[in-house]
Formats: sequence, structure tokens, C-alpha cells
Amino acid sequence: MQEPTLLLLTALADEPRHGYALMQEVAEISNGRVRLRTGTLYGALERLQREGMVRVEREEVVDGRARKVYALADQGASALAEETARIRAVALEAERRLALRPRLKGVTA
Amino acid sequence: MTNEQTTETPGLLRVALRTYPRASRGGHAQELAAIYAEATAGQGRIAAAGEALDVAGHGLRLRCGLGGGGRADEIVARAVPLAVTLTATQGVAYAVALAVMLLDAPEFAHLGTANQLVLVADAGATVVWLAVLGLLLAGRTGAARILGTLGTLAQLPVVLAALPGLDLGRADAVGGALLPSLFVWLLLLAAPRDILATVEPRDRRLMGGVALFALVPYALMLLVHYPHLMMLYVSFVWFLPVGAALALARRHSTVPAALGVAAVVGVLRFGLPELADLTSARTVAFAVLALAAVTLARRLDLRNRRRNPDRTPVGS
Repeated sequence: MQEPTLLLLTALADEPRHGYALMQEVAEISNGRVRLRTGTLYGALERLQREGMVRVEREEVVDGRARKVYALADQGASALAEETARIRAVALEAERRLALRPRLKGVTA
Repeated sequence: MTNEQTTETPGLLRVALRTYPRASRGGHAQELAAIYAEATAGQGRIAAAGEALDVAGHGLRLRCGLGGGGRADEIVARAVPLAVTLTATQGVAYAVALAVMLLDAPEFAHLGTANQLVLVADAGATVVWLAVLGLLLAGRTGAARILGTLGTLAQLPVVLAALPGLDLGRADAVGGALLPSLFVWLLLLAAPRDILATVEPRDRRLMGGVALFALVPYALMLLVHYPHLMMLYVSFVWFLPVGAALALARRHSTVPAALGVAAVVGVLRFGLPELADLTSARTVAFAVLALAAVTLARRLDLRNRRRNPDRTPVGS
């Protein structure tokens, strides 16, 4: 799973959000490293909808403008859970191996 | 969804929305306007222009048939690092030949200003594409796009300025120095940023394979001393992956298609100039235009069939 996709699905994991809120969430989750612009975000949301990962929860009108509120679909939740498990497994293994380093140094010193 | 809601659309966004296909513009406009308005609230004109440019990029992708229900987006995104690798590797091989030539200063001076300009433009493009490759591997897609754009736009006037002074080998100059850069640049712009953002390990392995494949002809040239035979091989071997990609186009495999798209770089650099030498530049240009027209007609036909599925012939 590409990082922007992971970030978007993560941003939708707890509650449905509209487009701009997703932009802000993605920037916050990635510590400002990934900033999705309007066209990129919209294209990504369209693709994720086609793939069944994201669905439109509802449409609302705010300040005279119609906007969609997106939610994580079941397929998206499953994909996110799988990716999270994969990342967690790698992180745990990395931590385990890093924890071995000082002891190895002690043995060789 | 009333018309009143769209009357507040800012000018920059209105221009950007014009890039969308007319049939689907209305469907996109409301949501894009809502996101754009919030994203640019309190921002300066530069930030607003950046957002509008990004919207226009999405619209152009849709207009080019990307971003639809097919695999085109994924194929283009996977082809970008491969095409950049191929053009950079071929450029490096060319730059090595140039460096050898530079060791013999009188020979380089004998080339004349126009040829020197083309060689310098090619060497400069190689440096740019190597840097773009590094940026892509680092996940800096935006910077890669900016550098690719600046590099290609800088290369364009140099090659065009050199063309009148070239007595022979104009097709080689355009094909070797300019067309690959233009093609890879367009590919870089066409790929959706969210998919292009990460070059995965499998893509890195493919990139290594592409680099090796690009160097094979040069290695063979050192070993096999049949210049004409080798020239034909180097020129036309690139049609094979393109042909294979077209043959496998209906299968749901992205990698061969991406490799085929990337191989177009080799076709442009070696295949078309050689064809132009064997026939004439006009014949090749006509053939390319005819091929483009057939492809466009097929795309339009497919689009019409999708819009009017009832008209699809039985058994097709």
C-alpha cells in the first residue's frame, strides 16, 4: 500500500471526514511531511471509491457549498487492518533486533 | 447542487475546471470547489495558484483517459521510474562516449557549434534525469516534477536552436536529445502523485533490470564487431517490449504494460531516428500521426461504447 493511501485510510479510520478535513488529518498524521493538494486528494478519493475502500457517507451544504463526507468502507477497513498488522510486525522485529545491539557490543568488546 | 453555488467559484479554479472533460465537469466542480475554498482560505495567491494547478493536472489526466476505471493510472505510475531509469542510463552511456570524445579536443571542436550544442543538451538532460531518479527514489515526487519540467524546458530551446546548423542527423538530434526527455516529462506529469509517491522494492528491482537491459547493447557493441547489425539491433530491440505490452494489454498485468510504456524511450531515442534514416523523416512523422489517429479513434470508440452499452455489438 502506498503511503498516501495508508495516510488517507488512517485519517478515515475513526470517523467520516470531508475533503479539507482529510487534507489536514493527513498532514497531521505525517507530521507535515505529506501534504495532499486539492486535485491529488480528489483523484485519490475517486480511486479509493472505485476500489471499494472508501464510500461517500453523506453530502452536506456548508457556507452555500455542497461537499461530500467520506467514510471508510469495510474493504478499506480490512486493507488498513492488514497493512497495520504488517507494519506492526516489522516494527516489533526491528525493536527486537535493536534491543540485541548493546548486548552484542558487550560480547565483542 | 444549484447554479448559485457555482457562481462563487474563484477565477483560478474556474480556469482549472475548464481542463476537465465537459461531460463530467459538473460532477466534479461542486466537490472540488468545496475542497479548494477551504484549502486556500487565508492563503496567498501563490498557494491558491498551486492548488488550482493541481486541480488542472487532475482534469488533464481525466481528459487524457487517465483516472478512469481502468489500470492506466497504475501503469503510468509504475512506468515513470522505469522510463526515468532508462533515459538516465542511456544518457550516461552517451555521456561516457562524449567524455571519451572530449579527451580528444580537436575532434570535439571539429563537430561545429550545432553538434556541440546537441551533445551538451543531451549531457545536461542526463544530469537532470539522474537527479530526478534520485528524487523519485527519495519519495520527493513534487521536486522530481519541478526539476524534470525545468530540465526539459531548458533543453528544448537549445536543441531547437541547434537544428538549423545541423547538416545531417537532425532526426538523431531530435530523437536522441529531445524526444525521450519530452516523453518522460509528460509521463512524470501524467502520473497521479498519490500513487507515484513511493517506489516500492519490486519497482527498484525492475529499475535495476531496465538499467542493465539499457546497457546490454553497448556491452555487445564492444564485443561484436558488426556495426550495421548492431545498429539495427540497438535501434529496433525497443519495439519488442512495446509490442509485447500491446499484445498483453487486455490482461490484468501491470508490469509488462509499464515496461512497454518505458521502452517507448528507447523507441524514441533509437528506433524512430533509424527509421527516419532508412526511409525519411516525413514518412516516420506520417506513420506516427497515423498510429496516433488510430489509437485516438479506438479510444473514442471505446468511450462511446461505455456510454452507450446497448449499442455494443453482440459477441464483441
